Amino acid sequence: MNQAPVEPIRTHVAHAEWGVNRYFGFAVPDLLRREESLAGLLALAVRGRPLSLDEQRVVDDIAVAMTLADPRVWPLKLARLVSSYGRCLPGLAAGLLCLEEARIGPWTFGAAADLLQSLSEEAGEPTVAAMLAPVQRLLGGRRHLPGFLVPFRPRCERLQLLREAVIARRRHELPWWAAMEAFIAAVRQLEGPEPNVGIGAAAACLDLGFTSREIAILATGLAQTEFLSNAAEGSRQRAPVLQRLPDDRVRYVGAPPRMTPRAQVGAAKRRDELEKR
Amino acid sequence: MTRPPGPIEQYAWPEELDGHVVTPGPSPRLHGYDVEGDLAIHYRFADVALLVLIGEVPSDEQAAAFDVAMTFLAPLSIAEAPAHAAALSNLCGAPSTGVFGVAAVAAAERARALLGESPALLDLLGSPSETVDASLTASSDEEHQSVQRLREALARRGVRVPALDRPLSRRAALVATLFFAGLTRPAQLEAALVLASLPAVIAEAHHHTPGAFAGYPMQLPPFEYEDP
Repeated sequence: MNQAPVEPIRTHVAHAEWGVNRYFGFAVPDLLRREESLAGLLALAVRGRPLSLDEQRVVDDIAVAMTLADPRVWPLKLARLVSSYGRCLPGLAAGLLCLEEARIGPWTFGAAADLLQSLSEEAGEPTVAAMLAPVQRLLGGRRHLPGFLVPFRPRCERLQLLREAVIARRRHELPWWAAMEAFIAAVRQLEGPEPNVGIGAAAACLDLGFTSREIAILATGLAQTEFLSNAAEGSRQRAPVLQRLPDDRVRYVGAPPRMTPRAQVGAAKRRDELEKR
Repeated sequence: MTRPPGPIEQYAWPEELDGHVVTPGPSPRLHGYDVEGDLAIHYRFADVALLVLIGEVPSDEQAAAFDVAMTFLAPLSIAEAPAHAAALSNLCGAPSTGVFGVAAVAAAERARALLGESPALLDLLGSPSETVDASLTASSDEEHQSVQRLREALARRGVRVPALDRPLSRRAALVATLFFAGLTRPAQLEAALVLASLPAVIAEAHHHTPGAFAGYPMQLPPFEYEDP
């Protein structure tokens, strides 16, 4: 049987070659020679263009500053639950699976970037005065601002850490970081929610030239160590209490005990038979 | 060394986790129905699966519609990404849990994409008086014939799904039948699409021998690399 040709899929990612493999236009040995970091590889994977070594350090800063790997945090707890049967990667995969388009976690950094961009466009200039009116509208019309809200504590220590790193690298005067600071000041002036590391990471990544979607993917990639650490320890521990909670710690709140229609018919028949006897 | 309390310790959290579907314990219940003393005696597994998804014991018509639709949805061939990906995972020598995980994730992604591509379908099912969007109508004789077989299979079980009076595509007709069975929310429909196809996807995967890389068509489809 003659087979119709299958249209090839074009890719810029990689090509296996004799002796030297290519990755986004680079010979892999060249990447090694230019001391590409893991953060640099992640950035290259996400947008297909390399960062300078200085820019890679900024991505490193974001990755380190955003680290919050407490196993009680919801997506990380999920990784622990799946890893509790003794395998690491299912826990890692399950943790990552819950992130795309989720309400919390690093994927939301992309939405924070969208918000910062749309607000800046509406304000026209990156000043607190210019941002007050659009922020007022924002606070009045939305329940949740991506990149804002700091649960259980007054301020986000991760944002503060990132801010210090950004200032140390003299990137705090770049357009998006400056706009973010004005945005935060306007939200505070209007007694809105506290900013978290999401808005800071979004601003730093916008200044590196990433799009919102790329920021969501990159931030999720950078958060992998948080999941990997929990999945690795969880798979070693195999905690029985994660495999099954104690009975007295589970409360059923669903439908009360009841009989199916067919069981009711059967019970009625049995009653009739008993009465006939 | 134990660290001092942090922000999580400062909050008064619930002490128990709530369950909404399964009553745990030695005599388990599903949505309040005794599994071992009632459901297992009076209902088939497909009925119980539908009960779990919709929260109530299905009527005979709903159960039959679900059964027929799930059977029509069961064959997902190796050409489709879920079976292809699951087969690749088995080829790579993944443990069975890995194969199952790949199959389930890919099947769920496929279900999400299918329903996401057809927002008009859910609108149509919610408002039966609306005219049928062209994207939801059958486009070939084969499709018309398949939908006719669906109508006949349902009729043999004494079921008439009014939405099938329209010239729907096979996919739309099957979703309409699931909708008739009580699966009205996208998450419920996605769950049914996954459950229907998973056995075939996993079985297909396990026919691909771990490590038999030379027998796998590595150039199907071809990829063409270009420097950015």
